[in-house]
Amino acid sequence: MKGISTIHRMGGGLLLLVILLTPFIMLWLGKPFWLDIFTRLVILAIAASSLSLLLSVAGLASFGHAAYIGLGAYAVGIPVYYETYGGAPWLASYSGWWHLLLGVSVCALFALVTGAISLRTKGVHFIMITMAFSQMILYLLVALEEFGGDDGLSVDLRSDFSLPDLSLPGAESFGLPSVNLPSLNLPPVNLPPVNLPTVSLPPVSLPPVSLEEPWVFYLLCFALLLLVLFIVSKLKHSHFGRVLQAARQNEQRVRALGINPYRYRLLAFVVAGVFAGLSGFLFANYAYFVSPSMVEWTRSGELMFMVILGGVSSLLGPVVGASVFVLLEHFLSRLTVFWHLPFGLLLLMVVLFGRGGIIGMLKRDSQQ
Amino acid sequence: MDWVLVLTQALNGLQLGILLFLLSAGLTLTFGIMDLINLAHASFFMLGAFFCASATLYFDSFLIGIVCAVLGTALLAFVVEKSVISHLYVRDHLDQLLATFGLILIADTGVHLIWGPAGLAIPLPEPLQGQVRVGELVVPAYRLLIIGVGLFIAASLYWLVNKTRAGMLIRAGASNRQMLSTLGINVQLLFTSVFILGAVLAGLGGLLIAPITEASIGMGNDIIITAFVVIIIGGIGSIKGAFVAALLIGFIDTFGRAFLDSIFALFMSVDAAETAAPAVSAILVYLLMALVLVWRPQGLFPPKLR
Amino acid sequence: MSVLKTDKLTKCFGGVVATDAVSLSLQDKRVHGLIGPNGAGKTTLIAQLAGQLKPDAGKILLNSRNITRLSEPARVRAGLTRTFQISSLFNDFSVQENVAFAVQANAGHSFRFWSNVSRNDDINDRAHELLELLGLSNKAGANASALSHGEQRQLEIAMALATKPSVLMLDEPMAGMGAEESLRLIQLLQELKHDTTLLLVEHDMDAVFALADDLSVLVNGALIASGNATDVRQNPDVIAAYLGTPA
Repeated sequence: MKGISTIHRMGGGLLLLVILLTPFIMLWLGKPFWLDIFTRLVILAIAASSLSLLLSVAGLASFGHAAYIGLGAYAVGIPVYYETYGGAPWLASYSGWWHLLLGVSVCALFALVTGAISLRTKGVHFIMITMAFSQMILYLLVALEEFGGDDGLSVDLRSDFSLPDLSLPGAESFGLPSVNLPSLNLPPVNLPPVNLPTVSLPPVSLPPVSLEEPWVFYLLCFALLLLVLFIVSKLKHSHFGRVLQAARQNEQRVRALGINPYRYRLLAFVVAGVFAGLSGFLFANYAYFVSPSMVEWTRSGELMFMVILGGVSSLLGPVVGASVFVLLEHFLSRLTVFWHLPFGLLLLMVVLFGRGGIIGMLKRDSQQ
Repeated sequence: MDWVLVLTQALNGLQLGILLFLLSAGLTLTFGIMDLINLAHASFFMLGAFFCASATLYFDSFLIGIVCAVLGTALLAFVVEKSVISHLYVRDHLDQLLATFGLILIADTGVHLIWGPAGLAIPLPEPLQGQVRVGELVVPAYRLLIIGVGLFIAASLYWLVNKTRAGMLIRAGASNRQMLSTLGINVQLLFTSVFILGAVLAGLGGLLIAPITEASIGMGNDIIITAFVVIIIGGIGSIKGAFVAALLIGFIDTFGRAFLDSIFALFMSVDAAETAAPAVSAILVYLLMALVLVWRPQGLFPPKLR
Repeated sequence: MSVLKTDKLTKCFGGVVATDAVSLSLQDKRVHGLIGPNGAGKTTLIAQLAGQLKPDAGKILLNSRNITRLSEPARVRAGLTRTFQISSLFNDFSVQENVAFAVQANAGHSFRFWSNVSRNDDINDRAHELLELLGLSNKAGANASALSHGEQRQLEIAMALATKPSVLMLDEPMAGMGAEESLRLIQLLQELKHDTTLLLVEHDMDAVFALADDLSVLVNGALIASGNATDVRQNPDVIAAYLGTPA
């Protein structure tokens, strides 16, 4: 396993740059819907990158990854619903901080429990069990009538990331408490930045960042993609990542050297789940909508396809895969409503004729 | 205790269990003998329903519809096995999953192309549309048919696997594939036959449920995961395990949905029970699976190791 | 002083008795050879000692500590390491990375997430030392799967040594090695004897007799002789069952 070459690195950087700039260029050329497409692309890239930590690094084929996207998404949808329509005050909130906290916690907990059970099994057992647990979440969400069940749930606004108002006592005259926890803020689009007009002190609070602005939202997604890629890269090259990679190649050997891979894999499972939950959080905000269909196992299959299509060894493989997927979907669906047909054929071809199959690609690629 | 209600639900549970068994039997067979995990099984479930629907409408006979569906599914299974599946036997399970996932996408779109986006209803012949009275119990006649057919097929499978020479080959293949070819058995033929058998069973499941639910695109894609749960609990490769687990799941799921809110209401408020019960009953089967995995990860009746 | 001891260790597979009430005792800092015909159950015995296989009956004691229930990784951490009869390597890693990982595994837990482990000097230095010792330095960058069979056996040993074992069990380490490599390995093992107790399973009789202080002979899963090497070699049962008339 060699380090990546400079050309590889430059290519990666170039790809990211292109992804960052294209929507803005298109915006300037008068085609704003590309921002929409690229936002979706970046969010899927985050989800695919989280899966690649499991698949490419640890060799764990989880076919239930979409569950975390759904959990992260509903962690936005449900609090916003309650805040808008009332009920469950302990859950209700427009605050993005709360949505993230909730999403991360739920995903981590679900990953911990299901991972602890699934990771005791191997091979096809493991794959089927992850599918089953994901299906369980699907049925759970469908059964929750209050949140729309099968029809899904509209998310009226995007998460609010106003920073806590650490203003001086004078601010109370505006009806705001002097220090408050980040919650229960109204959508910032209608509020001017908070200021202290009478005291000649610089305003202590920052202008609220509104995710309702598509370009702001896109930049947030892109920044999070960079963060996730950075963390995955760090993990991959660390002691921790090395254990995962060794265990992927030869679990028996790892045990014979004094390490039980179970705990490492469980942690990887949790981290991957949390990152996928993060992409779910973004999805809910992007689409203003969450639905149980996000959790269907076919979604997990598509995610896996993205990871494999992009090449399993490189860090940016999932980004490439997600890009190809989204662009293919966009262009093919304009040609025909039956675009799943060529897509299914492509998947079949990649599996059958990809050198030595996917696992072969997994082995061979990591030698480059 | 409302016995009529309990019995009705028991029959419902039995029906669901039979359906699950039809779907899982094929899965566990192909897995046990060919070490093949086949998602496209869900598509045969769907296609059995569509073939039957079209044939029934065309020939104006449900019986002919069934025959056509069985033949059509068998033929299609043969084609698919020869062209795609046979290349997958040597592949890793992940490859198999992804390839057969591709097949599902193709099948779903294919059905959309041929039959259109809407579902297709299968009209039942007159005698099957009615109800049967057994004492105080009133049961739809069709349900009795499904249960009857299902049990008959289960019995036939048992006979086939345990009492015939073909079945002996199947059991031998399940324990040692290499041995079969050294004994001069045509392994390819065996594999193709088993695959077709599995597909036909799935198709039968689909066409049996379609008069109730309509034949629709992707109708097998959710229930196949439940079939996975069945074979995980029953033990991958074991038909007996699949039968027991399928019935178990059928009953637990049905009784859960029917009675859990009453059970919950015994120790929590009616409101709480009414919100909690549907959620818990929806995931009951998976909780069972988790329990089995913790206690006995190889399933209830794992076949002997190779 | 008995470092590793088994007490009536038994293992059956269906009707076959693979390990028949084996009571073996390894003395400190001595080389203990384990020989016997093919299929005698030598590898099965090693697997049970290592913790890879669970015995049906009997006990295993490491320095008087009952390790029968201890997991395989835990035994390695306690100082009991084995090598495999068929080289078990990390085929995607380079030779250097293989050994480095073994060193890493021995250096405490691996829940470290930030620094790049391939740039860790301590690990790399120690890996380099081990590669030197086994004569593999010039192949450090090569992929493990690209090595010759003999070189793979050497890598196998380098990795085992990285775990700093107090008891090292070698399962046919010289299988497939050329004459020169075998000689070098014998020299290495003779040096190791000073710090490590060795259990050596081998078919190469020259190597066994050159190295072994003690000898145990396993036939059909049972020990027919065990003790000082010179004595065992002259045991008539052993000669009849395995050694044949000495040349």
